[in-house]
Parts: sequence; structure tokens; C-alpha cells
Amino acid sequence: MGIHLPHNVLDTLMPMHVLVTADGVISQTGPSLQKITPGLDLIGHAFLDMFYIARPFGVRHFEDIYALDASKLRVTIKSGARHDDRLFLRGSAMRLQADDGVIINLSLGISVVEAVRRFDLSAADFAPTDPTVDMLYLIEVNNAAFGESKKLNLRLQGAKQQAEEEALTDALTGLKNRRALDMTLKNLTEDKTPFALMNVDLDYFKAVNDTHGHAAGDLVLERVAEVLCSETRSTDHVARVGGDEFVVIFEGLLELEMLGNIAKRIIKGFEEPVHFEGEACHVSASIGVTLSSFYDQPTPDRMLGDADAALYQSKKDGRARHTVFEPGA
Amino acid sequence: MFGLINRAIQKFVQDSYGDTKWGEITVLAGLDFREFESMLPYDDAMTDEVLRSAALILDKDRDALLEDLGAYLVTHPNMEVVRRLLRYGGRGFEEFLLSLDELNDRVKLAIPDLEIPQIALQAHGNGAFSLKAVSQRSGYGAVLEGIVKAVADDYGALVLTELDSEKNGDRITEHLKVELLEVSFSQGRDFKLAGGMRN
Repeated sequence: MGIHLPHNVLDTLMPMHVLVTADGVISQTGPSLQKITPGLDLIGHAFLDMFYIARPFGVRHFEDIYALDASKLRVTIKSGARHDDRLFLRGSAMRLQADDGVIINLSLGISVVEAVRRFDLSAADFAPTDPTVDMLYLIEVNNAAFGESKKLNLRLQGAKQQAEEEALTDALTGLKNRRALDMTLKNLTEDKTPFALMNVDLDYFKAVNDTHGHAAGDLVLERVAEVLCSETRSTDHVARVGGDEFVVIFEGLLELEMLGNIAKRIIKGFEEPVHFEGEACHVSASIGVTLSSFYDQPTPDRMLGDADAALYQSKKDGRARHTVFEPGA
Repeated sequence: MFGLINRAIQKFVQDSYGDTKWGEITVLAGLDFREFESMLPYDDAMTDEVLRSAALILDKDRDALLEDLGAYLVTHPNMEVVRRLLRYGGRGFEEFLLSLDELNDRVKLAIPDLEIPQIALQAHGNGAFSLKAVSQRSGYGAVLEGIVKAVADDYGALVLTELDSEKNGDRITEHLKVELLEVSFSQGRDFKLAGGMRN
């Protein structure tokens, strides 16, 4: 003894149901199913003419459905010889009593977002117990929250970039960076403060990176930064201006002999091997020096250029040495 | 207080009274920034200070301001997402009221860090309802009043509301009476499920 369910009961509880007679003809459909099959007249047609059962495989005759009791179906809607492969419905088929045929309940499954948009569905198109509308709510709230988080990330990224641009220290060594050096040089030349400028370039640094890797290279850079700081006074300015290039400014110091001694101590300090994972890394330094007193109107660009020229002379002469720029030479 | 709440206050002031007023409020409240971040937590005292300053500068009492904030959340085009999320509550205004029981759970589901008081709905028959919100601070009731009235408009329903509160130790219980006079008083605004999805 089964229960007889009037139309409106099925329509409310299962708004996407299909009733199919024992010989495979659609006799009734739920209102939401009609909404997602606009222009199609389902009733009176063979179920398998209107729907294509993609899973399980091999359902070609309606009798096959009888064997599928309660298993999960993946169904698409046919339109002529084609089927709609953008909208996959989920379904389950249950056989009714004796010869009454089959009831197939369909749902939008994971295609729901697409279907809601395409067919302009409303909350009334879903069964009151169906959590699909809550799922749509979650999708929407998730998009909104994700959007806010993304905005926050973008703002933080912007702030980080700005902080980096405004930073005056080199992140790896803690020395001044190029920006800080430029500011110092500008101030000193504008104030006509006498000073010595020393460009220091690491020798053999590329070999350390190539042989022992960048971690070893970084360790060497940190070590030479320490040497530069310990061989200079706290009133001097030490900056890292490139991968392995450093600049030291000695405020108020114009004595070439003393600068020569400092350069020698720096080179000696650089040549102490740095041990990385049990292996010794060797570097040295080529140095170029110029003095603000060499110029009538010292400018940062000119002094940096001349110190560089002296530095390249040191390289040319065999590295690991310092050269003083010769004005007028 | 979670940033979303502070940000809602900020946007409400900016969209309703202009950016200059908001600037004055942040100065009076002693903030060293102007923009709240939705997804960051802030000290509760900061929210109180912003509300106190806003009431002074906009020359409105705190509850009236909070009621306007509630209405703003539902009606302003910049807050369309809030209106939509509230409209998910039900197909009609009555169903929406019933859904307020679940509001706290819905909010938790959406943003676990956002804490709002548990709201309990009671139906007294003949279209009379009351909403009870219990929390450590007053103000949620006034925001709720603004929201409920604006959502009623949104559904096209006509309601009367009345708010009162009682203090019990450090717990404040706010009662919002809602009388539903007419379910379909006017043509409400449209709500389409697909409206909030991106292509």
C-alpha cells in the first residue's frame, strides 16, 4: 500500500521532479524544471528523448533506469540531437509501485550558480528545505569578504612598497643605502663640509656566489659590512650602493696617508676567509679615493665618478689595492 | 570591535555627511588614521570614541545616529551587498523577521571574527513581534531598528517600531517591538538571486 501524492505536494517538496510512466514517457514535471527548460514541451515525450543520462554509463533504454534504483545520476537536457553540456543536473530515480513507472528527482547540483543566472531563478524555485539558497548566500558573502581581504592586501602591499622606497638602510647589511648616500653627499657638498670619498668594490665576489651559492654570498656581504663599520668612525658614513659595491664618506678627513692606512686595513679585513658550511670563501677589495678639496665646486656626481675611475685603476693594477684619484691627470 | 563595524560607521558618515565631517570626527576621536580596515580588529574603546565624536560633530544623539546607520546599510547603493545578504533571509518581510533568529549564525558562517549579539525573535500574534538583543554595550538595538524599518520598505511592508533597553549589571538587553501593519503596503524593491554574482 503506497501513498498517493497530489500534484502540489510533489511540486513543493520536489520542484524539479519528473514522473515517468512504465513505458518511459514523461507524465508530470515540477515547476522549477519547467523554468530551466524554457520552450521545451516535456510532457508526453519519452524521457530519454528529452534527457541524456551521462552517468552511469550505458543507459540507452528506459528499462535500464529500473536497474538504477537510488543511484546518483548525472543528467543533461537534450535539445534536438544535442544536449546542454553547460548544465549538468544531479538526479536520483526511484521506481514506484508495480507498474506506476519511475519518479526522478533532479537538482541543479554544482551547476546552480550558472542556472540561477541563466534562468533567473528565485528562492521560490527551490524547496523550502533545500539549502541551495543558503549556499548562494555563502558564495555571495564569500565574494564580498574575499574582495575586502584583497583590497586590504593591495593596500598593505602598497604601504610596504612605499616604506621600502622611503627606507634609508640596506635590508641585508643594515648599512645606509643608495638613497641615504645621495642625501648625505648632497648635504655635505651644499654645506661645503670637507670630506673624503672612498669607493669599495669586492673582488672575487662572483666566484663565491657561483661556487658556494647566494647564502654564502650574503654571509660574505654581512661580514664585509662589519669590517667597514669597525674600520671607520661612528661619524663616517658607510653605504652599500650595489650588489658588491660600497661607499664610505669620511667627514672632515682629508689626509691621504691616514686614508691609505684605513684602505689597507679594510682590504686586510676583507681577505680574512669567511667560513660557510665548512668551506672558506675568499674575497678582497679594490678601492678608489677622492677628496672634496680636489675640487673648486665638488658635486656628488663628479666625486663618485672620479672615485670610480680610481677604483678601476686599482682593478687594472691587479686588485686588492687602493688608488687615489689624481686631479688634472 | 571588528573592522567591518568601524568601517560601516566611517562609510555611513562619509556617504551621508561628507569626507570633511569624517575627518573632523577622526581628529576629535583622536585617531591617527582616517580609514578603518574592514578585516582588521580594533579596540572597542575606539568605536565608542568615534560614535561619541560623531554624535557631537553631527549634532545628533547616539541612538538616532545608529538608527540612521542601520537604514544606510540597507538603502545606500554603496551597501547593496548588505541589503542583498539580508534579503536572503526570506521571501517576505515576515519570513525575514523569522530569519533574524539565524542572523548570528549566518554572520558567523560568513565572517567568524565578526561578533554581533544573539537576536531572539518572539511573535505575539496579530503582526506583533519583538526582537531581543543582549550584549555588553548599547547601540545594536538602534542599528537593528534602522535595519528593520528599511528592510520593511524594501519588501514593501509597513511597520511601526519601538525601542527600549534595560541594564542588568554589565549586560544590556535591548527590546525592539515591531508591529507589522501591512504586508504589502507598497511595491517593494526587486531581489534576484543572480543579482550578486559576478560574470
